[in-house]
Amino acid sequence: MKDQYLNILSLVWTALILLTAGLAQAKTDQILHQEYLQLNIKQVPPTNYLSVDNIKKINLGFNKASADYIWLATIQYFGGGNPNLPYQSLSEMINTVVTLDPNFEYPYLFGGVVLPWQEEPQEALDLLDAGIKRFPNNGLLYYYAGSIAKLNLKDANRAAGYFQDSIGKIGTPPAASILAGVSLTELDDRQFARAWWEGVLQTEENENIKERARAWLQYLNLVIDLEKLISQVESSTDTKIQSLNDLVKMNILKEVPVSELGKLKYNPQTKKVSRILN
Amino acid sequence: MKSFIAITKLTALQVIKGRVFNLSLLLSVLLTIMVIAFSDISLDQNIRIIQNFGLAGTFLLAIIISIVSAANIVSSEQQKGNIYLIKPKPVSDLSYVAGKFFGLTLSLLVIYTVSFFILFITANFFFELNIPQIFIPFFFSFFEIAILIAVAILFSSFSTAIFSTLLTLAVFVVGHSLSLILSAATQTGGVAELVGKLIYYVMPNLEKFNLRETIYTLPQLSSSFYIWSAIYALFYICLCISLATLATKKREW
Repeated sequence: MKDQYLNILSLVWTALILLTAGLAQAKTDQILHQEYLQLNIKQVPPTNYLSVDNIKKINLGFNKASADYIWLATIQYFGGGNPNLPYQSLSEMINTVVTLDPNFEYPYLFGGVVLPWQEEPQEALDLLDAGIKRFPNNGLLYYYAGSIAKLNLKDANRAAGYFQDSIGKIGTPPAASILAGVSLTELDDRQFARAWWEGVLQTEENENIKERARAWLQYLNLVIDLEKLISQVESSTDTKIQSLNDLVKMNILKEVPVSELGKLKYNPQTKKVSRILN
Repeated sequence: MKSFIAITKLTALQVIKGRVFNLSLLLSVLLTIMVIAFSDISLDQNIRIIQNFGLAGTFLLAIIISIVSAANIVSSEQQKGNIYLIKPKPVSDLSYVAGKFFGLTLSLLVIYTVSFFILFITANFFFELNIPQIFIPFFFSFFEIAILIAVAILFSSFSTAIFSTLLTLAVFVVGHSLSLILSAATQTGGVAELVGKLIYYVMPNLEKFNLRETIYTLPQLSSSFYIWSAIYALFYICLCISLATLATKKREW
């Protein structure tokens, strides 16, 4: 009887300890969360991971498992706070993962998407370049690199290169050929861009892409013709054309032509015709 | 030969029927749950996480069990008094040591294989794993486990269980850091370089059996690599067993 009583008592005691421990755990979590919210932080603090060299020295050959562990930590780090805040260690953590295991493909793509939003486009591009060296057939790596070069670094030349290289690679979105053409159109080499669009029209089977390519080709032809016309008018009449309306006023054109991509404008400084972006 | 087989059988049964085996099963189940749970928060990298964490986890589990079991093997025989029953019988020291080694290696092979299959067969229900790709590093890491068992038996033949465990753990760490030691010693130069080179060639280079990394970067590894690595493992095991036999012979029971 006494033994039974002691058994029940010990069970109750154990349950009580577990309950108290659980409550204490929940309470401390709640306090930490509130403190964190009150901090009004401007950026997520860095983590204190060892350098890649030191990790390699102590991981006893478990490079892949270490890379996976830091990958999970990276996701936790990035997912643990406000996605709009800068994450100081994100780039370093992703680089640590791919240095420990250069054959881990996904972090290259992850970094390529996330780092530009963290105001680190150059780090993202470096990461994608490393990924391209390791996985030259992954079209998404080129595609993301082209997007960063175009949107973040405003480097149409580099963007055009990435988009062109992405064509025919595994996983490349169909829009890559369009984006390559758009980047090429922004460059000075109009003839090359026209050849690119003609190539897309001839080879592409997707009707939507063909339609876009046709519109860009029409725009490009119009731009080339207008620039040629302005050059001829300026040399024959000895007047400086300031806008496309000048051609209408001089009765050379009936009206200012409109491309399928929108209205056109002329810049007398650069002597280039381009579309008016809304 | 009869005594060797009897000792092998007895040692293997002792481990498999003992608590260690049940504990390893429990740990394998926990490891499986943990690895699958981790893979779930990896942004669609499940297969990779399961393969890498699974291989590392089952291997470390086997390493810990083998080091602890092997380091205790001779001293526990002494504590239990079993050695005093064996010694008067016509059992050679070599049969005793080799029997202990093969018995332990056999039981560890069973434990390691069971934990491997628990993890990867379970995970294979949820994800399509590349089992042959995982199986080669699994099979090869068993050479490392066998070497560590031999090293632990060697240490246990002339020292206490705790000291043998610590020494074998040190060999495990050093065995995976030999290239680092060699490069550090070469950079320092002089006597340090000589000592570094000595350590490099005397200590077992356990990285040779680490195909967990190599199999992905060099999937078409030549067969001569496998053969030479196996010869290296066998040579080192023979060396340890011979030294352990000598130590056992000189030991006063």
